[in-house]
Amino acid sequence: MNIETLILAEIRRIAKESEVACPADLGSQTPVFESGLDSLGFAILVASLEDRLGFDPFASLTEAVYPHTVGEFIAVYTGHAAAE
Amino acid sequence: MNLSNLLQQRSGDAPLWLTPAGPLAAAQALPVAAALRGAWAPVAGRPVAVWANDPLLFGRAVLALDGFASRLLLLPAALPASEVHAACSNAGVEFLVTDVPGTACAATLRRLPISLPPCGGGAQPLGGDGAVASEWVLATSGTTGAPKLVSHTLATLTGTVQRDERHGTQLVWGLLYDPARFAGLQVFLQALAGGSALCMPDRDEPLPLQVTALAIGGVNALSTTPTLWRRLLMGTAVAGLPLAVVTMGGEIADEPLLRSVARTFPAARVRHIYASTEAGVGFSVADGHEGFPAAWLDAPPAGIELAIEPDAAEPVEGEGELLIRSTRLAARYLGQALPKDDDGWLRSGDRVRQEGDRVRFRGRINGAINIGGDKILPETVERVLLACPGVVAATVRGRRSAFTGALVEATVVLAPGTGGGDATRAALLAHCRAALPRAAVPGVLRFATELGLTDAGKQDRAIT
Repeated sequence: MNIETLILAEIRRIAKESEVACPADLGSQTPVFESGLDSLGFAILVASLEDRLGFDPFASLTEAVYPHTVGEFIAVYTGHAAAE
Repeated sequence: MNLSNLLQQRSGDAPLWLTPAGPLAAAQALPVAAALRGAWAPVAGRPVAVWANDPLLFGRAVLALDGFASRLLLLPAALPASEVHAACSNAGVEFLVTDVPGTACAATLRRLPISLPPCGGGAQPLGGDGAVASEWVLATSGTTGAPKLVSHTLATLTGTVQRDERHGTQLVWGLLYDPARFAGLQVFLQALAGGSALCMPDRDEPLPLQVTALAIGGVNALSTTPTLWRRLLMGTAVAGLPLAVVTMGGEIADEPLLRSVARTFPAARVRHIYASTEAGVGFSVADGHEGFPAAWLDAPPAGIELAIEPDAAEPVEGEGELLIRSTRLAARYLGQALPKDDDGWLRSGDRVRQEGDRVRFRGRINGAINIGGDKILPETVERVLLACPGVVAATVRGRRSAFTGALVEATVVLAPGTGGGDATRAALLAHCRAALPRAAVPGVLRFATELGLTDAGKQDRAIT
């Protein structure tokens, strides 16, 4: 499973576990605010991805990054993976 | 001095509160408070609780009750009904101002009418000889276990309020917190006493709509937790607010967030505030860095003294519990003393470490996990997990998060024969959701065959 597919699947799983609605057309263009996940949801997402991928790109950033869209969020991961 | 006296010092026509119901000036709010006093005549000189969803009701109620009721018990809207009843009982409260529908009131608790009485009928004056010195009682922000009730006065709550009238009238504060919590009440009182307008969006609306309400209200001063700041920065709308004042508090503000906020709002004064329900407002740090200057241990800001007490059992150089002495401390907990020594030093419960010329926060002494400002005791979550069928052991610890500071990570050992699959996982999480506030429900849940112990044989709860 590539990173993008994994992240989209994890967002859907966490939204379901948190009993919140996730847009049917969830994708790169979806604004983070409309993904269904709140701050805690994103914290869970990042922890879950760290357990799956072995890294937390947000923990190692020296400058904070606050992605506006799901695509920008995915890019933080693909960028980190490419740099490794 | 009570709240209505403070309001009378403001310009009557200037906007006081901007709510979904429209703007309200001081000159309009005062007659409403007087009318409510008339309708609430039986509570004169007696304790009253306020448990409101609608910030406008909260504002009207505290304005009417300060100087009128003997005690104002402020209850966060998110508090469950069972805890509302327990808190009212502990505080000797028999009357409740609430807009929470269908609240089954205990036999000992009476709801006060909240619809406005006809104009002028039975209004009671707000100032004058009848005024009592009301006690303000707040619930601590811990969300697991019953909250402690902390006694303040309007004077201890407004000790750090800036009263620069000319500057204050130029500010419009935004409120994204519950004003019944200490942090929200600070914003509410700062705006009221400082001569500023306060924009209070509907907190049940999605955050982007609340930000839109702030923009429409012309908000240029905003205070929230670091976690909510990070969330706001994940949207694009917040950058459009013409912020001149940015504050954050309630949990540790980290350096990357402070830099990011400063970059987004180059014209703003950015401060992080150290405060707690018990200690009141301790100090605010405006130099753009996390923690506070070590020089303050010897030469503190006005009105406060700071010290570090090393751990008696295992002292570590430069590390220990932050002690605070200040005129803004709460008077007491209801029913018990504050953790203060004879010389007036309060144990903050916060672990700090001095590193060179800076003192930084390291977490809570009691091991509580601070998730976006909600303090969760691992033991409480462990007890809930252990009550689940099939669970024989559970350990809970904080896991660092760039988004919420921390989150709850649970490791569970199941009885032989209990499957550790998705169904078990869903059942455990459903059980936790029913018994715990949302932030306390494990964000990460693992299954193990045994639990790790520390060298001392205790459960390993170190934050990772």
